[in-house]
This record gives sequence, structure tokens and C-alpha cells, in this order.
Amino acid sequence: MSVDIIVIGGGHAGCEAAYAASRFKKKVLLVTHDVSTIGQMSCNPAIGGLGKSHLVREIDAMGGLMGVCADKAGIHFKVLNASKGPAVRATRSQSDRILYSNAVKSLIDSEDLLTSVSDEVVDIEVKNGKATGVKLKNGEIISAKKIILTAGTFLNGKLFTGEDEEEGGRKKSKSSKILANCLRSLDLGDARLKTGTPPRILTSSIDFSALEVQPGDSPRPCMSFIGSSDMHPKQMNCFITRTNKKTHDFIRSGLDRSPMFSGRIDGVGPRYCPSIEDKIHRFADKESHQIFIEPEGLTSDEVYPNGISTSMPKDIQEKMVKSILGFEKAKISQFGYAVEYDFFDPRNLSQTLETKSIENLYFAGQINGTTGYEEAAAQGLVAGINAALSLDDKDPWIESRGNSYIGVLVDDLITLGTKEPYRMFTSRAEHRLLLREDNADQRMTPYAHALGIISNDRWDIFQKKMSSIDAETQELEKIKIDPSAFGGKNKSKQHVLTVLKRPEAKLEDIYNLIKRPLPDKGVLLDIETTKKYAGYIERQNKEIKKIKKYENAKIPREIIFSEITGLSNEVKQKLEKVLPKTIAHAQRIPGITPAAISLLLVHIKKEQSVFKEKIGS
Amino acid sequence: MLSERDTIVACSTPPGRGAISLVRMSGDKALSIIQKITKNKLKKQISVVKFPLNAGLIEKCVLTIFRAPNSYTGEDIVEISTHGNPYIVEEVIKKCLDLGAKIANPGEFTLRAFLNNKLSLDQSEAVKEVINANSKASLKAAQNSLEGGLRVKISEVQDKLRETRVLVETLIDFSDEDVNVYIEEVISKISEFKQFFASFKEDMKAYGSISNDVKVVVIGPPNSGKSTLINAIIGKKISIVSEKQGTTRDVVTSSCLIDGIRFVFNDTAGIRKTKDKIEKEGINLSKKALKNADIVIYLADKENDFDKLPITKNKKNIFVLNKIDLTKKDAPVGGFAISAKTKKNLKLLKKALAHNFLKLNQEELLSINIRHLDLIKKAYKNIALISPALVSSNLELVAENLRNCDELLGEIYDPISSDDMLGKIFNKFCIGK
Ligand SMILES: Cc1cc2nc3c(=O)[nH]c(=O)nc-3n(C[C@H](O)[C@H](O)[C@H](O)COP(=O)(O)OP(=O)(O)OC[C@H]3O[C@@H](n4cnc5c(N)ncnc54)[C@H](O)[C@@H]3O)c2cc1C
Ligand SMILES: Nc1nc2c(ncn2[C@@H]2O[C@H](COP(=O)(O)OP(=O)(O)O)[C@@H](O)[C@H]2O)c(=O)[nH]1
Ligand SMILES: [Mg+2]
Repeated sequence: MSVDIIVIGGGHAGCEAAYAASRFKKKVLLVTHDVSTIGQMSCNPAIGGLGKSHLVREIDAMGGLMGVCADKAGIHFKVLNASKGPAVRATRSQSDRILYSNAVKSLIDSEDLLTSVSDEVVDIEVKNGKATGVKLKNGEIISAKKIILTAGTFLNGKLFTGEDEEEGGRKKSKSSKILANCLRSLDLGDARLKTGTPPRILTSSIDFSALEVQPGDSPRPCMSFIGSSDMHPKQMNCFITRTNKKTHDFIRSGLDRSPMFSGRIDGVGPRYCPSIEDKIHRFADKESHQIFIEPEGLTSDEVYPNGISTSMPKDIQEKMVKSILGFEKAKISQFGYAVEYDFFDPRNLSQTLETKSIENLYFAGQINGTTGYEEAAAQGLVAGINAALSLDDKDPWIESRGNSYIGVLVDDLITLGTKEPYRMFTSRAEHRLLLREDNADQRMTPYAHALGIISNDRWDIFQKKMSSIDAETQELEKIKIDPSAFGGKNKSKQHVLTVLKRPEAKLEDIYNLIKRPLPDKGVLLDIETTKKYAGYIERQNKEIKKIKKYENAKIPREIIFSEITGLSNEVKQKLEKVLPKTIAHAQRIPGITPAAISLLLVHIKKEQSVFKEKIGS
Repeated sequence: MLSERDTIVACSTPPGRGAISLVRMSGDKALSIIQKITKNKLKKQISVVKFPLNAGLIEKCVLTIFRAPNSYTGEDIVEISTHGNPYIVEEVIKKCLDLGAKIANPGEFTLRAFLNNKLSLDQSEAVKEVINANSKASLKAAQNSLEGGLRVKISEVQDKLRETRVLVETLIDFSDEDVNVYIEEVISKISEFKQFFASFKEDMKAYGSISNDVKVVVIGPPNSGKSTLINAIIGKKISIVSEKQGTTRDVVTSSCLIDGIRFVFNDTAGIRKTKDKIEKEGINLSKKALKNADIVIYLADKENDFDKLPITKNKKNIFVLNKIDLTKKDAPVGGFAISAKTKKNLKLLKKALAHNFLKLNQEELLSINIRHLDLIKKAYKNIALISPALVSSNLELVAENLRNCDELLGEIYDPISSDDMLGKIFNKFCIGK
């Protein structure tokens, strides 16, 4: 059997990769352990959140799955940072786990050229430095022009609860041991990371009457640009409780039996997602930690107690849970555990997520050292689109840091690598003010449209929004109002858009004042933000332009970094590891000093008379 | 432009005759070139060798060897000390050039030190200042900067700034966690930092004045005794002193040391209405001088005259009444009554000039140039723009201003990455569900 593209793994990375590639009319085969787990949320049933919703919006703007599925499955929506400016606002949704996975499956099934099978890949066929196919468990070989590996936490996955230890990618799923060992022999630079998950508790065993209720937002936000609140199923509440001194005492009493503290786990865990035992150990003076109680779904009898991820022994988990307000009679349906797994140094990947050493082989998702559904999905999209583009002999899709969080994510991974599970934060994006979740469509949808991978519906909605923004702006430019209504001291009337620059002025209020019917929320927000951020946007654009000069300054492929005199060995090694393609890329490698960059420039100028890009000296 | 693999050579002592001259050669080939010329094995760091010149002449000179990377430039360096004769120097350099060395461009040794990571940008700048310093204070400042003092100072400011950045970024990226950071805390931190930065900026300006000499402009009506006063302070005759109004038409500058700090005085034409073209020109020049001044002395012989003078803001202004030998006058508020002629109370005035700079810790002076001051000014502007209202309504814009401030300061030597920032957050707060 032979196909264009094989995707290994039906997690969030694999699904986006397979779906995107099939939109290019490629014959795609998705091989995953069990097709019934396609689109499964291994951990917290939440999509979006700070830094992450930006990724979801970008995936959505490119015609991906995640945003639409989150709308179809969302049972609780909230906008975080609502009191701050639009660049850092973030939508977070709580999904019904079953509805979510069903939504993904139905979209995957809707693509005729995309086939999914339940099987295990045990090896990747490599000939002359090129990947040519995969070997299945029964020995069958399927050949393909491109292979995208998205095996998640399954490579040599090991689960830990107290003194217990078993093999597995997550609970109730076996790990990929054979494939992992084959990959290790390819010498792609693997290491171990770990993450964990809290115990799940039966809803019927919780006393909610004692707990603080946290309802979703109203009006309800959507994750997708083409989503609407009509798509949302019935909504549910979340609740809040806290740990206390007793909880902490129980945890302390079991620390010596924790796999984390007894040294049985070597993998590095995320600092921003520590286990409860970690938190109590590192921040000993903190007397209480907050727990969000999140429903797992409309029909589920389980909740996810967000904040007490743990791998403590079962008896300790039992005691600590019962010490918490509302959980006095709690029944644990599944104990918390830690998972330790292989990941590959993403510095071995190029900007398309193709491995540098094996042509036609792409890596996406948690195997690249990230954590989170959104980060995985974003990479899946990048790998899927680029694999397809490469088959068509087209220019690759490479996002810059100034244009998207996807650009920041990929660039961080391939340039900096990672020592702990990598998660997106808005503070990672230096051009944060330009990269709003509400303007991801403007940043990316026209490109996706040019590639021909988005639906006509999406394109129509986008165009309608853009022409409405234009039309409204033009109208507003004509209108003058009395600024004193918005704290202005001028007596004479001013243009609406000038008044809008005042911190006190809200565009919605201005519309009410001039008695003009309100346009769509997205339109309103865009006009308002563009005005309010004007000076900052200009400054960030200038910065981007400055960088662009270096972004355009290509480093010739033939260059041998070790031959550049004056560079320290450390710098040479770093350059050889990353193999930067542009001067700007080289500048971002940690430990590469301005002086090293100067030497690099000199060397290139000297060795390559063809190096025509103008760079100020 | 820089040349990459070349070995460079140049005479490092001033041109002309003297006891000795020093020729310096740096680069991969420096050792092999000198070996070929002198047939010396260069076993010792310092050796006396015979250096054959043209036409059978031989110069006995001292070689000092510094091997890479333990040298000024980070490359192999040979220093050749010869007798201080321009002809010998020329011949020595020629010999090196014959064997493949290149003449060094101005500043190229320091440039290499920078490129080879021996010096940071601010340190490289300080090298020049050490050479150009013309007072005890400016030399001390340059030396401190060369030793990395500026970097330490800037880092101190950045550390303070980052305390606030950490709070702001935490509020943005972890607003859904119980991190116990509040807007009020950010507002008070920022106003505290604003004050701190304002006084830091003033210090830096004062350091800058010392490094670039303190510029004093004397302004006053014609014949109030401006030229006489400057002559009296400097102790020699520079400005033309005359009884006819409006004699000093150019801005005449002269300098002197007071308490180890170099002061440059600008004598100006008196400021008054005039039709004389040349004098008008002179008055315009004075106005320009005023702009660049660190200190302005307003000199009058009648108290009422002060009101007629253009008083500048943002400068240190000193008001002085002259000619107390003729009639008894009270000193103006915060100022002095003197006689330029008899030098009465002149000492007090001199002390006042130096006072602001002596207030600075003389051990911690730094060499500050226009590039630094410009960056510091821009950085300050970013902070000054932050209002409590902005903190409440658009924290992301506050974050942007703080980041800009940090980066501008970093341009003085080195920037911070977003990952460092997150690291600080994780160390400080218990984050994570
Ligand atoms: C216990 C646990 C806790 C977590 N906690 C958090 C958290 O708190 N916060 C957070 O943001 N993220 C958390 N995550 C991470 C999040 O689940 C992942 O980042 C995300 O799901 C990764 O997506 P992926 O597509 O890369 O891989 P996965 O979702 O892991 O999917 C991998 C898929 O590949 C398949 N597969 C693997 N090997 C083979 C093979 N050889 N042949 C065929 N199929 C194969 C598997 O069956 C699976 O379907 C946690 C994950 C786990 C397991
Ligand atoms: N008696 C007396 N005469 C002074 C004093 N200072 C300056 N003069 C005289 O005032 C006249 C003008 O001085 P000059 O320095 O040229 O004034 P300028 O025009 O302000 O520069 C000269 O004749 C000086 O000698 C002073 O302190 N006492
Ligand atoms: Mg005069």
C-alpha cells in the first residue's frame, strides 16, 4: 500500500496534521493505536486560556479543527484578562470530553482522502537519509512520500503512582516502546520529560453546597471565527475550593514515598504546572492552594480538580482529597499519576518541523518537548501544511515571530530547544500587541485562502468583517462629537476617532451617543483597538521592520561555522547545532553575542560575493 | 570595515621623537612574523632582541608577548619597544608589513577586543575615554567604566525594573492563578521606580558632564564683568576686557580644573537689543552655548538686571552680583555677591560650581557619553508615560513600556530574554494547577 502522507498518532497534533494535509487533496493515512480515542483529551478538558487561545485562534484562522470543535463541545466559556487590553485577553473553554472527541472524529471522517486505521507503528523506514514509509505491528510496510510523527507522551511512556510504576502513554493506553527504541537508534537527541494529572472525583460524591460557584461568562464568547453561541451545548458551572493545612500535612507525611522525591523520575517537569507536592515543597509558607473544580462533561459523573496534580501513593491521595472542603465524602474514580516520556530535541528540526537529518520525516506535538493541546495542534498544522506544500513543490509556510504565536512557538522550539515541557505565554511574544486573538483572521486567513484550504463560508465571513471594518471606519471619520462626554477638555467638537484615543472613551458608548446601530463585536473591537494602540502598533511595526533586514539576510547553506576565526568554540557549536538560515535567526540563539554576529557577517561577506543583501555595518 | 584574518600592526605611542616608541602587532600571524624577523624562539614573555632594519642596520628592542586569548584583543599580540625615533618605527612596521601584516585602522585593536568578547560595548567606549581623560575625575570615571562599572550600575537599575516587570507579566499571564499580586502594588512599585530612575538619570547626566567636561556659560548685560570674572577664575587672560559695551562677540571658551574636575567656560556677548550684525551673531551663538550648558552663571552688577535675562529651566543656575568693591550689595537669594576685580568671594563661587559634582561619590564616577544619555533619556520617557489610569485600563501597554525601557537600557550592554523573565516569575510565585 502507498499513500502521500502518513500521520502517526491521533492526538491533537496528529488530527490537525492529517486534516490540513487532506485539505490539499493529498491521500493521507492516519495510523493510531485506537481510532476510538481520536481527539481524546488526555488531561484537563479545557481548550484555550492565556497564550493558548491565541494559538487556537490562529489554527482556526488557517482552517484547522480545534476552534470549531471547542465551540461544538464547550460547556463553559470565560474571557480571561477581560479587564485588561485586547492583546492579552484570552478565551478559555471547558469541553465535554465526549462531544469534543466526537466533533474531531466527524470532521476527520468528512474528508474523503483521509483514512484512519487502528494500528501501531513499530518502525520508520529510512533509505539514504530519507523516510520512505512505516512498518506496522504485523510487519506490513506502508510507503509514503511524507511521514509526520505525533506520538505524544507515548514514547517509552511510564506512569507513576506512589511506589507503583507501569508502562503506558496515559491511563488505559499502552506506550510505544518498540517505536521509541527504533527512534532512539536514529540518534535524534532524545531526553526525558514528565508531567502529571490529578485524581478524578465522582460528581455525586461532592458536597457542592459548601463551594463557591463560578458560572461562565454572559454574553458567551466563541473560540472559532466561524463559531456562534448557538453551536454551544448546554452550559455548566465550575466551582472553587482550596487545600488547607491538613491537606498539606498529609502530603508531607507521604513525600518519602513519592516517585518525584525518591528520585525514581528523572524527567523534568513544567515549572508552571507543578504537582501539589511540588508546590507544598517549594512554597512551604503558602497555607492554601486554590482548586478549580471542572466538570468533565454533560453526561459524565466525574470532575477534574484542577490544581492538585499528583503522583503520591493512593492512600495519601485518598486522605488529602478527603481533607478538602466539599470533598469530605469524595470517591476517587481514577487516581492521579505522573507520566514520564521521551522527547526529541526540537533544535534538530527545521522551520517546517521536518527533521534536519532525515528528509520527509516531520515531528509535531508533545514529542518536541511541548505540553498542551493547543501547542500540539499548532505544530500539527505546521507539519501537515508544510508536508503537503513540499509535495506540491511550493514555498514552505514559515510564520515570523512578528506575525503569529505559531511563529513564536516554532522559532522558540527550533532555536532555543527546551529543558522543561514548553508552554505558550503571551510574554513569550515580543510583538504581543500586534498578535491579538481577535485579529488572528486578519493575520492568517488571506494566506490560508490563497492556499485553498479554507471553506467558502469562512472566507465570506472574513470578507464581510473586513468590509464592515472599512465601511464603519470611513463613516466614523466623517463624524464629530463633543469630547467632554469622555473626559476631554476641548470645547470644540472633535473627530470620533480622535476622541476614541482617550482612555475613558469606549467605541460602543460613542455609537450610542451618535445613535448609530452597533456593528458586529469583532468589528467594533478592531476599530477601537487599532486607534487606541496606534502609537504602540507603529513602534512594534518599526521594530519588526528593523529585524526584517536581518531576517532577509540569508546565511548561505555552504557556510561552515567551525571555519570562522574569532568565534569561540562554544559559539561555533551552538551555530552548528541550530544551523540558522538567517542572521536574525542566529541572533536569537542564546549565547550568540553581537560580536559573534559581526564576525559572522564579515565572514559571509568575504566568502560569498553572492551575498547581496544589504546589511548596515 | 573589519578584516577577518589579518594580522594588524601599528605604532601605539604618539608620533614624534621620544625616549621609546611602541609598535603593537595583533593576530594569528603576529608570533610567526616576529619569529621570522628576529629568529627568537619567543620562549619568554619579555625578551631583548635584535631587530634587523634596512641596509644592515640593527635595532635592539624589547619584545613583550601576550598569547591568545590572554591579551587585550584576545589574539596573539607582540609589543615591540624601540627607541623613540620615527624612522626606526617606520622601518619596524615596514618589516612586519613585508611578512603579511596589515596596517591597523584607528581603533581596530579595541574593535577586535570587542569582537573577541574581551570587552563589552560600554567597556570599549571607555577605552577611548581613558586615553582622552583630562581631569582626575574623568580619568577615574573612565577607569571605572572600563572595569565594568557602568554595566553593574545599569544592571542595578534593570534589576529594580524587572521586579516590576515580573509583577506585571505575572498579572497578565497568570491572572487565573491565585498569585496574590494586585494592581495597587504595581502602581506603587512603578511610582517608586519612576522616582528612582529620575534620580539615576540626574546622576548619569552629572557623570556625563564630568566625562565631557562641565560646561559653564556666563550670561549677563554688557559690561557686567563676564570676561573679567572668567579671567579671574581661570587665572589667565583670555577674554577681551574693555569698557566699551559689546566687545566680546564670539563665544570664547577656556578651561580650568577645580577640585579635579574640568570646567569649560563660555564667555558670551552681553545679551541686549542691538542692530550691529556681528554682535547679533554673537548673541545667537550665546543662545546656542546656553543650550549645551551644564551650569549657567547669571552675572549682573545691578540686582534689577536679573529680571531682564532669559532664565533657562532644567539647568543649574547661579546668580551672581558683581563689583561689590564699588558699592556694597547683598547676595541674591541662593547666589553670591563678588568682585571679579579684587577676587572677593570668588572662592565661594568656585566651590558652588564644583559642589554638584563633588556630591557624587568620587569613587563611583562613570564615563557617560551621549549614546548612553540618549538611551537613558528614551528609557525614562517610557516610564514617565505610565499613569495609574493606564495600569488599571491597559496593563499590556504598561508591560510594553517597561519592556522598552529594559531593552533601551540593555542596549548600553546586553538585553534580557523572555525566558529569563518567566524564570523569575516561577521562582517568585507558586504557579500552576
Ligand atoms: C497524564 C497527562 C497529563 C497531562 N497534563 C497536562 C496539563 O496539565 N496541561 C496541559 O496543558 N497538558 C497536559 N498534558 C498534555 C497534553 O495532553 C498533550 O500536550 C497533548 O495531548 C499532546 O498532543 P499530541 O498530539 O502531541 O499527543 P497525544 O495527545 O499524546 O496523542 C498521541 C497519539 O499518538 C498515538 N500513538 C503513539 N504512538 C503510536 C504508535 N507507535 N503507533 C500508532 N499510534 C501511536 C497515541 O495512541 C495517541 O493517540 C498531559 C498529558 C498527559 C498524558
Ligand atoms: N570695579 C570693578 N570693575 C569691574 C569688576 N568686574 C569688571 N569690572 C570692569 O567692568 C568693565 C567691563 O568688564 P568686562 O569683563 O569686559 O564686561 P563684559 O562685557 O560683561 O564681559 C571692565 O572695565 C572691567 O574692568 C569688578 O568686580 N569691580
Ligand atoms: Mg566681555
